[in-house]
Amino acid sequence: MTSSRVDRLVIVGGGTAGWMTAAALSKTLGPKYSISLIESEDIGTVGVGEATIPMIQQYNQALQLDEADFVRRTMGSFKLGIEFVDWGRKGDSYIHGFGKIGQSMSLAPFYQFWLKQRATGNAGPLDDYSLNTVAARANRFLPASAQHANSPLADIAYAYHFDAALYAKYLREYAEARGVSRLEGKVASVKQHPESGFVTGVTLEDGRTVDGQLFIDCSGFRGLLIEQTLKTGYVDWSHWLPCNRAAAVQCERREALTPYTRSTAREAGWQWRIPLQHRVGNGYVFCADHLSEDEASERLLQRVEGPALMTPKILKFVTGKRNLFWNKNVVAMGLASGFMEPLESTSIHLIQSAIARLTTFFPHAGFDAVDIDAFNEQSHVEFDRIRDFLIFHYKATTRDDTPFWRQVRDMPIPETLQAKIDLFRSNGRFFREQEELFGEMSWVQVMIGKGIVPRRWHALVDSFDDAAVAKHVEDTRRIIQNCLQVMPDHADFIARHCAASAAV
Amino acid sequence: MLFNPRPRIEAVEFGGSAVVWVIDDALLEPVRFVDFAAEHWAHARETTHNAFPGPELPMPEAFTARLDAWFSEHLRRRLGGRRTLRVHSRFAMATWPASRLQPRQWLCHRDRDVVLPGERVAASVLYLFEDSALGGTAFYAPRRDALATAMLVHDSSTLDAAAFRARHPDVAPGYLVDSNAWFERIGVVEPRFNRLIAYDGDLFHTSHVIDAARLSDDPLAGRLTINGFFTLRAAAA
Repeated sequence: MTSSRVDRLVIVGGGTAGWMTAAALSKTLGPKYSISLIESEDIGTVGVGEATIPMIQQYNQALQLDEADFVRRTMGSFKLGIEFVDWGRKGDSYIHGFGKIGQSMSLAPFYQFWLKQRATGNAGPLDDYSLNTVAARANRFLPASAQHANSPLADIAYAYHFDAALYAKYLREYAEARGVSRLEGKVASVKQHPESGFVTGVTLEDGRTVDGQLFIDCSGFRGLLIEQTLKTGYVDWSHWLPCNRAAAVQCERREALTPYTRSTAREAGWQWRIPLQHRVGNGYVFCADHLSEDEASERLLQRVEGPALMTPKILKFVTGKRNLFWNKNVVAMGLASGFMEPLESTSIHLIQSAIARLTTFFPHAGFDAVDIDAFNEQSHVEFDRIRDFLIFHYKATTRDDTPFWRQVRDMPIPETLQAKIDLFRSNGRFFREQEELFGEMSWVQVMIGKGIVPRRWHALVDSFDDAAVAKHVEDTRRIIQNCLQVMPDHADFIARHCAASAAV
Repeated sequence: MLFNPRPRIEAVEFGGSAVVWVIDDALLEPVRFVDFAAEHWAHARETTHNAFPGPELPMPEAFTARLDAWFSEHLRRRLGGRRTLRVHSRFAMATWPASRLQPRQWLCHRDRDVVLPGERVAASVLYLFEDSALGGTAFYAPRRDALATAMLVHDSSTLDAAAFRARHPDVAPGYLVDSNAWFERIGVVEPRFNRLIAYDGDLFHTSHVIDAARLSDDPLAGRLTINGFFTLRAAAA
């Protein structure tokens, strides 16, 4: 083993993954490290990841980005959660909000008290007991602040919607200002060590060579290094998540600037709506076995709220993950590492998470196999648990109106997921496994939103007399309504604090 | 009994593959329906959910059920259906002057907005006017690929007239009566009093209004039709 430093990093591919990686590593590693990023303007970026989850704030804070500047420059908006429409059955709507639900008492979480009240017909929808979801429905937004301590206003959790192309541009400026070297060009060939197979460099079409010690593959679905060069292999999850296409189109905004993403179940998949300041991002994630690309594009165009700003773009994908996320001296980021549909806005988070993990496991030149194994194991767990959460959205449907919904309703599911459902269905219990991304509040909202209501509530709730339970639940609802009154309209908040000059 | 129990059904082929089924003498007492429309026309309404350029009046449910039964017996299988899932019917009368039309009415259209996988939509038009100069139904084939055509249709339903004209100067305002850069006219069914036509909802078509000045808002003199829409479970291929 050598103790020499890995200080020459090469990122292959720009886009969201490439520039997020470049920006974060340039900040973390500092000027003693050489970071090169190779990208070609001739290769388009997918850029469907325009919705995020609250962990994105940790990334932005690590980079010390100014929030208002960031939102302004990316034509962004704020996001309190995701509305799911027509998922459990047609006519359904619930919000997976990012914030807390009520207030725990004793050892039981609030929703256990709500379950008891609901059983007696004395509680409204669970949405009514979280400020995040109530504010989302009312198109209100206010970031959490310390001045509202001991109030639900202090617990508002939020993320962003933004223009992925502008986000990449923004981070590119950030990274280049910190010394990242951008090379315009296409990779023509990859050099490997004849014995170890480690990648030693890449040669561009114009003959330039870029050598490095650590290579980060951000080349998208094709996985130029991780797959085309190292033949790492891919785990196909199509039997659980059969959607394999997305039609994406941007349109003018005609509806409100909502502080949430919308996901509407459609005949052969689902449609996203992501509202930005200057436009709306829309897409139809669908299964090509049930709907043709032309049909999906046409249906998407019929259902978007305003004039389209482009011809729908078709993205082809196979849901799954690489066999290894880190193979030899190549680390895969973004779509090169795997793909899961953006149903819970996890694409950008997975990039951020992989960057953080790479920082934790940043190698010596010897590339310790134990460290790489641990990196891969953690990455697998993260992917697998998100996979289960996504599968659940389909499996829990009662829809039977199309062959697609009958297929996903009736499909076998991973045992890990079945165990979660069974546990929740009995007494409403949920336990987070290892460091899985989505926690109790997320699962509870989505389970109940899909119509899976526990048979009983937590036994400790019965240690309170009925009047106390009723008062706790009703007080929560009332306090949240009071908090809502001090929250401004989402569009007004943006207009006051972070409006982009070119926004319509 | 409302409909001819032994209809003579003629297949008219357009453009090599499109088939329109034509039945003359469809109703046993067609004049009764003209009179019914005239009596109730005060209740006819213009709608915004479709591209039809004139008022519509829903048909009584009993009529729709009879139409469905007759359609199922004589036409459904010919149109690729094995079971009827949904059906509705209405009187409709094109009345608008060309100057009032919006971009989506400058194009032909299809009747398949909400069709699900495994389903198909069929449509019928029953002409209840004597003046053949009011125009029958014209059928078209798109000249461009499906995506480009879908974009055009989308633009026609989301842009105002000026913006649509700016983006698509090759689409003339007014009733579509002939081929243009986007659609090739593949055939026209001439109207005849008490003639019913039925066709696959996938076919682009439009009311063939050559002379909009002849249109009238009087059901006794205007371009009165009964339109039926059938959502079908597709027969096995």
